[in-house]
Amino acid sequence: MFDIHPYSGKIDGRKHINADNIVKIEHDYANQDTIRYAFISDSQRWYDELDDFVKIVNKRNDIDFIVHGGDISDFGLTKEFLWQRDILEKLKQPYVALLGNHDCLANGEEIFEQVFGTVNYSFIAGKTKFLCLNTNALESDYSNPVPDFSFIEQERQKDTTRFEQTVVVMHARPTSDQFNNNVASVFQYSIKQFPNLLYCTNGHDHIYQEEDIFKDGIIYYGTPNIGKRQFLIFTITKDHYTHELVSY
Amino acid sequence: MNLFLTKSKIRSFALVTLFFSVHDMAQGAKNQYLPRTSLAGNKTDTLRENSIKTDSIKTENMSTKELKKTAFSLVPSSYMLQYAGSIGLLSAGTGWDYGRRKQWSTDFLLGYVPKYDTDRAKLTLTLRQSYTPWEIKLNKQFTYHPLRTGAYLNTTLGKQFWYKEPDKYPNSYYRFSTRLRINIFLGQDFSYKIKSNSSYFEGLKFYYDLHTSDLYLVSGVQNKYLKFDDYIGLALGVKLQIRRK
Repeated sequence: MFDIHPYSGKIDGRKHINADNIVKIEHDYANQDTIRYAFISDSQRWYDELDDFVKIVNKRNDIDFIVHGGDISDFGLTKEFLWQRDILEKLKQPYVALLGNHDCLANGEEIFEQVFGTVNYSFIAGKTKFLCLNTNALESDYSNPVPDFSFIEQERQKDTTRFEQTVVVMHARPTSDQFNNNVASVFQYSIKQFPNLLYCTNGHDHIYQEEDIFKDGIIYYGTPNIGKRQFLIFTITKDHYTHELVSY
Repeated sequence: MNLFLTKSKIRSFALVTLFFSVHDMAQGAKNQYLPRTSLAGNKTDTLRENSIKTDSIKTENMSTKELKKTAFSLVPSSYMLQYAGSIGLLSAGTGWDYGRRKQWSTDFLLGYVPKYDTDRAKLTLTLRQSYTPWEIKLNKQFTYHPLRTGAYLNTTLGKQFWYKEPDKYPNSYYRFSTRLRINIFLGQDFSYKIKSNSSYFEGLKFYYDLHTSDLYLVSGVQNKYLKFDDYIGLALGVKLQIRRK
């Protein structure tokens, strides 16, 4: 009823969602051989389409968790984060969200960190480590490392007994306008040091992409914006994966 | 709150300081030039006094008129306090009512946003234009405007907000301003006339506005999911009407 300010940062409702949901994912799927998850991205201002996505996924019983590749808000408004969060909260399965470039507008990044959590994080589902990175370099400056190579190196050495393969998730992929393309090949080198890097996924470009960007066998899969009523489903088994573009 | 003195902050503070100093000047001018008429004394004395005074009153009246015109545009009609309205938790300001039936109002407010879950509190400046086409007198004490409507511009102070995206971005990357908001509103107000004839304030006005902003409107109208109460807000305010002499 009362709106204090569009960028008030007044957060009502659930916070620290990623951390809580990661506990659930890691616990529920620790011993699962096959992991199947949905990857969506760029749902900013597409409230109806995101709501329909939730309904569609909730009808299925084969999706273990959902990953949102970022751009939850269009303008960085406090209310946008909360409106979108409330739709995602209706998901029966756990979900995690990444930071998009639009989410950095004004004080958006602070709000994202409160509602979802840190902008670089990881989780392990089955034997696969999902490395979720902030790649929105154009939104930042040199005082803030994007991508954060120290974090990447730390993650490479952490929980090595719990995972055998890796997937890297980001909002903006190397070669995009947001990525720090000066370090694109260094980035690719760093993530290939991880045990058995399977593939990478991204959002931001609002179209379906399937590209071996560095010509090294690692495919970057881009998911369309939710406004197109499409998303990706990945099925990971030991040392192998399949993917599917779903329309609804 | 970050008191880093950027160019825009200096400009805003200069504007606010200029406004208050002009207001003080105008108050001083008004007090100096009000015609003094003696209420005591008998008729003949008064008549003679008046004939002598005629010329001086004429000149005094002309300069009073001129000054009243000037004073009219500088001396505010009211001071106000507002809760919410997308311009702050609490905002304070002054208003100028004008027009033949005082149906136009221009308000200027300074708003305060607590820091909540962010790292800093914020200050905002608002310029509001209202129109109240109809006035209904309920009795000697109460009047009300069944409709007040208009628009207001709000700017938020602070480096994290910009009018246009910084140069590092490709052209038209974001296409909107995080700093400047345009809001529209519809509301009503109720006035109470204070019984005294000499108090500084002659009345109290309570108003409420249903408001929305450009970004909320754009977010709300293009889908079915968001409902009116998601993107339309309620603001409450009180104005202290200054007695016009």
